[in-house]
Amino acid sequence: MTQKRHEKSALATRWLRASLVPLLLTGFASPVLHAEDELPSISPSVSQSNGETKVYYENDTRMRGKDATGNRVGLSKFRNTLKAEHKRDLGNGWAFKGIFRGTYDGVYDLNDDEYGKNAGGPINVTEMSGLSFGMGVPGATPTSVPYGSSFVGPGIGFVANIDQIAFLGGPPTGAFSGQQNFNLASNPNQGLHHLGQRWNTSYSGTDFGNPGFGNLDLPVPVRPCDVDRRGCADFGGYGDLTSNALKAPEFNGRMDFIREFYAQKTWDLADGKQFNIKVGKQQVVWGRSDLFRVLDVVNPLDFSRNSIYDEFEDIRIPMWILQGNYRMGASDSLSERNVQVVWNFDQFRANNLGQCGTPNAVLDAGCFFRAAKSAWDYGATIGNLAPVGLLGGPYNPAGVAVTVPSHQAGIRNVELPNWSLKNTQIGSRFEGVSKDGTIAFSVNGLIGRSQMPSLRTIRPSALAFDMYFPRISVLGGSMDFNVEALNTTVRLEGAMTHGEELTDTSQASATSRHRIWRSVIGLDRATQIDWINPERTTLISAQFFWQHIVGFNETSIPNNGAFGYPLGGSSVKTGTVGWKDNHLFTLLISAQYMQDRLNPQLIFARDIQARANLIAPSVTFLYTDKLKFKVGANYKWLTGNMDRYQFIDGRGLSGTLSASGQLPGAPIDTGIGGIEALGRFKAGIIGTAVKEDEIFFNMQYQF
Amino acid sequence: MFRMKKHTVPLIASLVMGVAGTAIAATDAEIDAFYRPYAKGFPSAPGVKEGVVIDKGNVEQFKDVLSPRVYDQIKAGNSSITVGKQLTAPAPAGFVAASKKTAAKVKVQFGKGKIEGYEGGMPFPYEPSASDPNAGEKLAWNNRYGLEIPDDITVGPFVWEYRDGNTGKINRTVDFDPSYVSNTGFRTINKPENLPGSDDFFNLLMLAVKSPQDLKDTAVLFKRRVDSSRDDDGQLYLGFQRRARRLSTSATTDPFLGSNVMIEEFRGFNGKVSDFNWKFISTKNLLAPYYSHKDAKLRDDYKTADWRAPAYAGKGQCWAAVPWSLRKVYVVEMTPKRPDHPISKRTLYIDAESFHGILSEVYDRKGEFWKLWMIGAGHPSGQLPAVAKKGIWVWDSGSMIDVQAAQCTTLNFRVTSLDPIPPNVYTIEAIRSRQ
Repeated sequence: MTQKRHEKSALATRWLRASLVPLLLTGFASPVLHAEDELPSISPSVSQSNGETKVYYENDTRMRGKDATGNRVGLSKFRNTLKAEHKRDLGNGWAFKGIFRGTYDGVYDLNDDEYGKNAGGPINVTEMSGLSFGMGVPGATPTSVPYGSSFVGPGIGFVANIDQIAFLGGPPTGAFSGQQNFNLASNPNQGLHHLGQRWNTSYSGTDFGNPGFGNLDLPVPVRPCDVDRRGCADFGGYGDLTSNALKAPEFNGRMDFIREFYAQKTWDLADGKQFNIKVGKQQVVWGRSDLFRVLDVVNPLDFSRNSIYDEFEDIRIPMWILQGNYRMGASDSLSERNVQVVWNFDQFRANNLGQCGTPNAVLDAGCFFRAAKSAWDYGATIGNLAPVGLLGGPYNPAGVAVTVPSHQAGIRNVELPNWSLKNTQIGSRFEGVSKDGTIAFSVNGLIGRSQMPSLRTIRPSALAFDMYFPRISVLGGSMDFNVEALNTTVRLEGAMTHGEELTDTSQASATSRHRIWRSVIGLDRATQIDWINPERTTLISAQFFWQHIVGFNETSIPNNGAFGYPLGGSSVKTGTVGWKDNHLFTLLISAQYMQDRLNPQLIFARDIQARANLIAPSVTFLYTDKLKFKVGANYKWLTGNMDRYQFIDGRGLSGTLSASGQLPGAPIDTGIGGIEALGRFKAGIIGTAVKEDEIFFNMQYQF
Repeated sequence: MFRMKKHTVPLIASLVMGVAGTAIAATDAEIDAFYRPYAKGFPSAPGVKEGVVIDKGNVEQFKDVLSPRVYDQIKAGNSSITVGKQLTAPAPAGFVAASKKTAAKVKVQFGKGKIEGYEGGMPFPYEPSASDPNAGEKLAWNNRYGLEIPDDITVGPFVWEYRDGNTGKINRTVDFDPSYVSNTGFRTINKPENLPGSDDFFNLLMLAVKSPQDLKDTAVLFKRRVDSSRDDDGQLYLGFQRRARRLSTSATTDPFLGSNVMIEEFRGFNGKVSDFNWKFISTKNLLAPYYSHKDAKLRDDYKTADWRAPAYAGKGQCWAAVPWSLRKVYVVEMTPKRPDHPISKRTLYIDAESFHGILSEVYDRKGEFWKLWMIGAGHPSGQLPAVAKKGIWVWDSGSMIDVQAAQCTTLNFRVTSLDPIPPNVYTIEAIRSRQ
C-alpha cells in the first residue's frame, strides 16, 4: 500500500515536472529558472506601436499501442511547445520578423522505458543453428545467444576469418587496421533492440527465403547518447543527441530555437515593378502539393518532430537564406511575373530522420544507421550472419551468430559537408500567371546537396560504409488551374533530380547515381454533400504521386547457398533499392461546422507499391479564438505481406567483410536476403510505421 | 461637357433574354435625374420621423416601409430600429458622365453574363421598367458597377465577429487588416486610368487576416471577371501552409472563413450575373441603415485614435445600433440556375442613390427563410477626412443573420481611404510575401 502510494506520488511528480519544464523554457536565455519566478513573466500578446508579439503554447500528447514485438508502447509524445512571434518595422522600409520556439517533450521522462534512459535492454541475438547453446554459452537458447557472447567471435575461442564469412570461403585477404576485440565492458548487452523490431519481427524468423538459416539480426542501441554512446554520430542533426537534446531539441548548436529571423525590404521600381530582399533564417516554400513534397525542397524537414503528421511549416528546418524577388508585374501575355533567386548560405542541414530510440525515426533509418555505426565503433554480435556449415564438419544450413570486432563492418564516417561556397545551395524560380488568371505556373531550379544520405562502401563490396550527402540538382515546375465544368482545381507538379545516390547492391560501391522524376497531380473539389453538411461544401482533395527512377536496376539471384549446398528458399532481389515506379495516393476529406469552429477531417494515404495504408481521422475544435483542441488518430496497415520488401542483405556476397574488399574477380552473390536491413527503403515511410498507430490530443493556446 | 442626346431604343431584341443588344433607353437628363433621386426631396411615409423607435409594439404601422423579413424580426421582438436623418450623397459628376458614355454603347447578352462596350459608371442608368423583362438583370449589372465600390477602398481594421445569434457571445473574431478593393477599368473617382488586367477583370479584392491564430496570415485574393459568365479568379493564401491555393468555384457559395457570409454575398451580391435568373419586383421607399457615423451608437472595441465602431444590439447583438432612414430602393428577386446552389432565392434591395445591395433576404433550398443581410452605409460627412472628401456613401456597419442556425456575423469597418491602391497589392506574390 505504502509502496503504491509512493509510486503514484512519483508518477505525479514526473507529470508535474513534465508540465512545468516547458514553461521554464520560456526564458530562452535563462537555462536555470524557477517556475514560480518565471510564470508571471510570460508575456501575453503585446501590441506595440512599433511591433507586435504573440506567444503560443501547445501540448501534443500521443499514445501508441503494441509494437511489432507485442510490447505496449504507451505514451509516445508529451510535447510542450512555447512559440513567440515578433514583428516590427526597422525603419527605412525594412521589416523584421522573428519566430522563436522551445519544446520540451516529456516522453523521455514519462516513458523512459521506451524512449529514455531505460529504453531497450539485454537481448539475445538470433542463432538458428543453436551453436552457442550447444557449446554451453551461458544464456543461450536453441535459437539465440546473448549479445556479445556468441560462440563465434573474437575472444571466444574462434577468430572470425573474415573471408570465411563470405560463404564462398577463400584465403584471408589481409588484416584490418584499428580493430579491437569485442569488449562487453564498453559494449554491454544493455539498452539494445533488434533492428527493425519497431515494425517487423523478421530478426527472429526463418522466412523470406531463409528456412533453417534464419534472417539477419542486427542489434541496435536505443538509449540517448549521454546514456549510451554506442552508434552515436551526427547523421545530419540527429544521431548523437543526449537526453536533454531530445527533450528540448531546439536548444542546440545550430540555435534551432530561432525558427525564423529575417528582415525584408521592398523597393518600388518604375512601371509598378518591385524588388524585394529577404535575408535571414527563413523558410522558402515551393510547390503545390500537400502531405508529401515534390518541389518544396529548399528547406530540409525535421521528421523527428512528428513524422509526417505536422504541418510542413512546423517541420521545415529554417535556413539562413538570402532571397531576392523581382516582381515584374504584367506583360502582354501574363498578368503576373516574378523571378526569385534563393541563396541558402547556411551550413548544410540534412533531413532529420529521427534518432533511434525516439518515437519518430522515419523509415526506421535512424536505427539502421545507429546499428551500423555501433557495429563499426564497438563491434557487434550479428545474428545468423553465417551458416554453421562454414565451421567445418557436416554441412548445416542453420545460421550462426557472429561477434565481429570493431572497425570491420558498419558506418565508419559521416561526411557532413562543411561550410564552403560550393556547398551552399542556390535556386531560382520563375512564376507566372496567365493573362486571364486561369493558369498559374512556376519553373524551378536548384543545385545543392542532397538532404538524404547515401552510404558508399569504403572498400569494394564491403559491408563498411561512409555516409555522404551527394551533390544534386533539381529542375521542375508546377501549375494550377480550374476545370470549371467539373468545379475542380487541378494542381500539377513535377521535378527531375539529377545526382541522387541510391543504395545499389549490384555495385561494388553499393550506390548508383540516378535521375529521379517525382510528380504529383492533385485534384481539389469543394463538393456539396448534404448528408455531411447541407449548408456548405465538403472539401475533397485527392493527390496521386508518381516517382520514377531512371536507370533502375533490379535482378533476382537464386539462393545458391554455400559450397554448393543450397540454403533453400526463393530468389532474392538485388540492385537498386526501391521501386522503379512508385505511386502514392492521398485523399483528404474535410468538413466544417459551427462557423468553421468544428472541423472533422479524414486523411487516407496508400503507398501503392509498398501496399501500405494510412488512415488519419481528426477533429479540431476552436473553443475560442485563442484556444484550440484537436483529437485524432492514425492507423496504418498493410494489404500485402512483407515479402515485397525482401532484398539482398550482403550475407551472401563475397568480400563483404574482407579486409581488402571483394575477392579477385567480380563479386559473387549467393542470394541471401530478407527485409532487414534494406527492406525499410521499400516499405517506405508508411510501411515502416505500421506498428506505430497512435491516438493523440493536441491543445494550443495563444496568450 | 456632355451634350444631352435623345437615344432611341434601337433593338426590341435587346429586351429578349439571351440576345445581344444595346441598352440605350434614356436621355442625359433622365440619367441625371436617375442619379439624383432626392433632388426634389426625400421620400416620406406616415409616422416615419427622425427619432421614432420602431419595435414590436408599433411595427405594424411601418410594415410598408420595412422589408418583409426585417418586419418579421422586429415583430418577433428581435430588434428595434431608430429612424434617423435622411441624407444624400449624389454620384460624382465623373461617374455620371461615364455612365452616359457607357449607356450609349453597352451591349449585354442577357442571361449569358456577357457585357461589351462598358466605359465606366453604371451601364443602365435609368429607371427600371416593370414591363422590361431584363429590368432585374439590368439592376444586377448596375449593382455590379455601382458606387458601393468606388475606384478604391482601403479598410483597416475590418473586423468580423461570429456570434451566437441568441446570446450574442462572440465565438470568433476575424480581423482583416489590411483590406483592399479596387475597380480596374474606366475609373472615375480617382485618376481615370485603367489598371493592369482590366481587360479581364473589373474588380479586385484583397483581404489579409491578422487574427485569430488559426487564420493568421491567411489572405484572400479575389478577381472578378469582366465576363460574368466565367468563374471569378480566387487565390487563398493559407498562413499555416505558406502557399497560395486556387479557390474552387464552389468556395464562393461557402461560408467565407466560417462566417455566415458567402463570397457571393459580399455587398449583397458578389457573384456571376449569369448564375441567376433576375426579376425586377418593384421600386419602393424602404427604411434602410443609411446614416451618418456620428449618429450611430459607438463602442470601444477595435477603437483607434480616430475611430470607434458602431455598437451592435438586438437579439444576439446581431443588429447594428445605427439609425435607419427612408430610402428609395429597387427590389430584385434572384433565383439560382445551378441546382446545387445552397439557396433557392434571394431578394435584393438596391439603394437607388449609391446602388449598395443594402438588404438581402436569403431563402434556403427548401424555400425557407435562412439569412438576412444588412449593410450600414455611412454618409461621407461622418467618415474620416480622407474618405469624406470623396463625397460618397461607404461601408460603416453590417451583419448577416442566420435565423436557422441562430448565428450572425457582424462587420466592423473603418474605411481609411478611397485613394488609389497600388495594383501590385492584387498579386499572388503580394499575398504570399506579406509574412
